[in-house]
Amino acid sequence: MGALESTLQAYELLDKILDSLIKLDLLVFFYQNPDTIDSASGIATWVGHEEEQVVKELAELAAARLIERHQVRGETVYTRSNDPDIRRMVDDFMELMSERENRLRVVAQILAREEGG
Amino acid sequence: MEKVRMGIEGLDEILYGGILRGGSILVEGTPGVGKTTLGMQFIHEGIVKYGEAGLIVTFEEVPVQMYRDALNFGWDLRRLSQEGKLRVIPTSPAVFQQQIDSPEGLIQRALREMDVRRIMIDSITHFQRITSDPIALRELLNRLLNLLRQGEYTTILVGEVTPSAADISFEEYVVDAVFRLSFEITPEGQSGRYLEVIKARGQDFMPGKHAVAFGPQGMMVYPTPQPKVRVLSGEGRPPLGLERISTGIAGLDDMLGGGLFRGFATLIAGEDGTGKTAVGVHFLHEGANQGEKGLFISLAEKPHKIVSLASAIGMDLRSPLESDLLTFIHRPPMGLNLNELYCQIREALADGSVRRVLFDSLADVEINITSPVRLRDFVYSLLDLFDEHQVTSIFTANVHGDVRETAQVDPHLALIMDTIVLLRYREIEGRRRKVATVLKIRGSDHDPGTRGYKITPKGVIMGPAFAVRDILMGT
Repeated sequence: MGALESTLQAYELLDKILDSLIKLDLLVFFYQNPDTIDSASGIATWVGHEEEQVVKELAELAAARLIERHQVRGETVYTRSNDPDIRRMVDDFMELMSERENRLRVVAQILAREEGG
Repeated sequence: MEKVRMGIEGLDEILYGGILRGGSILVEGTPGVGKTTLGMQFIHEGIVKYGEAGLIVTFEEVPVQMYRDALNFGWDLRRLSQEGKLRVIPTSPAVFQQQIDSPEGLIQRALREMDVRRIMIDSITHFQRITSDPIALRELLNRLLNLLRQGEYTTILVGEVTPSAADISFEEYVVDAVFRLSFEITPEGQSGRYLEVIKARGQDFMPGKHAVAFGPQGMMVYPTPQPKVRVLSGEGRPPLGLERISTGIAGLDDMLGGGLFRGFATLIAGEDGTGKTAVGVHFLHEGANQGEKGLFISLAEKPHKIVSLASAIGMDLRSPLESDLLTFIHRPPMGLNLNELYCQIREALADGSVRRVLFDSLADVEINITSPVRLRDFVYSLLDLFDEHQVTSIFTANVHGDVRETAQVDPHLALIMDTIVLLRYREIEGRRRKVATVLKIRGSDHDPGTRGYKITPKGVIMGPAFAVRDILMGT
């Protein structure tokens, strides 16, 4: 995958999936702490959000394959995606987010979506 | 059994080479005392020095914080993680337990894939989030430790204790080793960190509290010197050899029966201003003239000042300094950490090139301790070290009062020194004079008399002996 294509995919990711600030926080958390292995309850503590909301957002991120959901002995835990293409896409997106201007735009866009219901 | 080196300076010495492989070590202490730093250093050094992959399990601190803290000591944990030599896993105690318990668990898989040898769990206090039942908690921890032992993972478990917690925790019973880190305040009001090995199953270790310091490369432990039992009798210790070496002061050599014995320790005790340091400077200067390397341990004066003062009495210390025949250890006496000083001296002697040492002065050591036994133990340890390296040493010390000669020297020191020279002021023939007396020299006869001396621009010059009557009567 070329650099341009990857960046475009990163934008697409933003448009399609990131519809809440909690989701954004979760994505940033897994990006910054790539070896995380935890339950929804544990991740809620790490990111400082209500468990109920985190459960829902984690499920959606997992459905979009941005993170992975594992079942061991009936317990569900989450990790970052093991797919190199997805990882690269998330890395590119975070690279964009490292610039304040882009970060503000992303947050404004998510807030607009949240307000729009 | 194979030992695993902790990779922390001084700690492996306390453990006589390291900890048994596959052991679980509880590192406990109050907040901020350095538990996590010790664990991170164990993991980092394991990877960098010994090629052993590491795993850090954190229940509270996010890796980003750890990476930042570790960078303060130059440990790039993020890079090691990117290189696949380290994984820092944020998780919850219950998830950790479940994922390591099951062969198909993600943490078990990571251990196998990376061939992990060292683990840090920070902190086990969080297992109380799984259950508050002490029996269930103990069972849980036991199961975890057995699993880690089976895998031969050497594991550090960080444990939090509150400052008031005096009881022994159950964790201390179930683990293989316990290291306790603490803040201590000395009777003199100085605070410092200490490490004590409470237990280490199946191996020996140095008992007691050992000073801890943090430097640019991380934690350093300064083992409390373990002095060997020395013969306390004044006559019991045989001379190491009969070779005499000059103090650099001809008259003093005469009083000593031909100089000092090589490898012996001498105490130059005297009142303030009697020239104790000057005698020591002569000793080092003479050594340099003979091509013998000297070490000047100065606790009060800075080296540049000593060089200037030496020059004022005709002793050129600059040349031996420049030609590497003289080195200085200078430590300000305030807040002096004796274990740290001992380690520094040991390092300076390590290559075996130093032949003469001047320790100036024990008076500066005394202000940092309250117990004379502690002073004796410290000097014992130094004498052991000097014996080992066949170093001839001079210690300076203060004395007070002027009535009885032997009573003025610390009896603890008097017993362990091979030679004692006393420098005092005396009123003789109506004038206040500096006088020197050799109180003892093991293995040799000596001039028991008292001689006057002067400190001149050409050095210390001894005068003739005074009659006893003159000294006693002050005439």
